[in-house]
Amino acid sequence: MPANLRLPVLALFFIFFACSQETGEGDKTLADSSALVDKSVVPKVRVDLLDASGFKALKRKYQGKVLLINTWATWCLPCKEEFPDLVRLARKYENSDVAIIGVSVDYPDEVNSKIIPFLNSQQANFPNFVQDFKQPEDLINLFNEKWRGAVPATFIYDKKGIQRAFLLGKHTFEEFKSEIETIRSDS
Amino acid sequence: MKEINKILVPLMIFFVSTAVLARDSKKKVDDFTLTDYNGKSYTLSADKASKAIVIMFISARCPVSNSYNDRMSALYEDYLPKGILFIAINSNNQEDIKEVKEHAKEHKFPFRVLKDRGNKVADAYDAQVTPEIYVVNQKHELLYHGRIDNSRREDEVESKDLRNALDEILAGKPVIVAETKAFGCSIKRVE
Repeated sequence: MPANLRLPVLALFFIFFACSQETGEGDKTLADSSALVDKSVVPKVRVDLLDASGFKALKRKYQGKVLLINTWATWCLPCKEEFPDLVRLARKYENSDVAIIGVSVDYPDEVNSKIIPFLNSQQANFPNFVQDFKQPEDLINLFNEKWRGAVPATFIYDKKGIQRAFLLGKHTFEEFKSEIETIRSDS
Repeated sequence: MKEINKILVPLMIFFVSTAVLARDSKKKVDDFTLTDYNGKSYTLSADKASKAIVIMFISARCPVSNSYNDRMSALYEDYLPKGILFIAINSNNQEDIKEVKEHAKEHKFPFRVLKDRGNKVADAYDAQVTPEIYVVNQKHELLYHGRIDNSRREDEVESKDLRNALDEILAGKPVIVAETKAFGCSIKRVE
């Protein structure tokens, strides 16, 4: 090979090699994405304990965002029926000024046996907690004095951390979205 | 000074007596007539014999309500001889009279289970959850409202709130903890 051609050929070879590597990486990412959709591959879900100080910290952390907190339980059928709409909601508001949080009112010792398997089955894509209060009413009253503890119940806070909606029972994606958008436009 | 006292003293008497009346006045619940799964009717105001009436909003499908089935039967057995009546109400729209009957038979409930069609009584009482308890006297004054105890796991119960309230009522004492809360299933209402 003439000496004046060696450098361009080497450069072409390098570019070709780099592109091949990039394509390979791209394939890997696609493979990962499809793996997340595949229900046989379990994504990692984290469930933290939520006590009174954790609740206050949570509210502080999300100030400046519209915060939707859904309370649910693995023994509650309407909660389970409602959950896919929350997953859809979290996907819609990903990286926005709206945050979705789940709080299970199951027992903390049911995280691995019941809560995580359910969250995995739903491909839960938002932060999740389990209540860790000695008395149920301590958590119930923190959310709303008018709440008697029936789940599902959803509480929506404005960007200043003031509760603006208390939704008792099962609701739909559209109903949640409508409440969020009203609070969002007022904030 | 005397002139000021003429105004201040009646005013003080008014505020103190109002405060005492407010403290002693109990919330009243509405009367109702419902039928049980055998078609037999029950009217709250027709009950003149009981020292207190325990009204329990329950569900055939709610796992939390069902975790209390044995405890509700035990309460009935313990307190009926002492003059306390127990009535269960099913207000869930999805649970028809046939299901209510089968559920009561399956669990051998010793108390009557009434069907609240259209959740009218649940609405009047603002009952939200199952199980949810209302204890009333003959004047339909609310003496206790809330949970049976503080854990759906019977072996982890620390506070037997309903039993405590009934013991205080039978002793002629005011109920110290008259309002409690617990997690449970929401009552499915007509849409």
